[in-house]
Amino acid sequence: MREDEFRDRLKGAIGEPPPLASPSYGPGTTARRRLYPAAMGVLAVALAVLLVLVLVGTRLALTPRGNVGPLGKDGGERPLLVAEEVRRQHLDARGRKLRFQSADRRRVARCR
Amino acid sequence: MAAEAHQDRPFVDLVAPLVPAAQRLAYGMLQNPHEAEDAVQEATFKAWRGFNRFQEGSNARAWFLTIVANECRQRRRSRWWSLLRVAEPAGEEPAAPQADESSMDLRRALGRLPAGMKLALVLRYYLDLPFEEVGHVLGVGEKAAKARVHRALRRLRVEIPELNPDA
Repeated sequence: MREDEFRDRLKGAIGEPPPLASPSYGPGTTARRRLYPAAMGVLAVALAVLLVLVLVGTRLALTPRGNVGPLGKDGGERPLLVAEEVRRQHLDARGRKLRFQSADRRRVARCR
Repeated sequence: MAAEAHQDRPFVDLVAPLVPAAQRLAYGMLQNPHEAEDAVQEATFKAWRGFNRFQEGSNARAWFLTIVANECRQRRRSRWWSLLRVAEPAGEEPAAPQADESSMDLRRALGRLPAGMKLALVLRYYLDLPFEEVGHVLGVGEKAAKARVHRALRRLRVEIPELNPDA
């Protein structure tokens, strides 16, 4: 197919454009139309920030802070003491075990 | 307001004669009168905003058509996520394009071409621009514009074998 034939065919396929409205030369309506998505963008960002604040706020409000263990008669000190006590007992038990082990070794040496 | 209008005078004088070509380009690219109208309006606004960058003496038609072409390309890209268009009222459809099967095939094949190729074909065969000006709008030289048009034609011929020169 020759170039001219193709040109005619393309023009026939697309067709002539209908009479379109002449554009306005300046910001006019376009600027107003452009304002709408901009306003929607600002609104979307504001909503997103609000959502994040609400989520963080509720999270902070509902997260237990400080001591949550059972309180003794003297307030919040008791759980710490309990923890300290457990740690001490654990160390004592290890010390005792080491002592028994060395005593056993001495006993074995004496038997030999 | 009057002062503003006075300031816009050179812009209007420059662009107004180019609007029909711009509308033709937008219609050729988008194949929808309403979208074409919007694209030309938006492109005119962009041209107005960038008018201070326009160098006097340079090719005004190529400058304005480049802005319109970019606008059309942007609209084609953003089409997939935009709102669904409802069917147009029966009276408004121009019904100008030929409705026979081969024309519809050509339109469909044209629609499937990459934007750059379609633009090259529309500029060359729908707006009848010389290769030099096609190159200006595409942002390439005359030879590259020729090559792009021929590539686009070759691609169309794959889809529509009747377009082959021997056919």
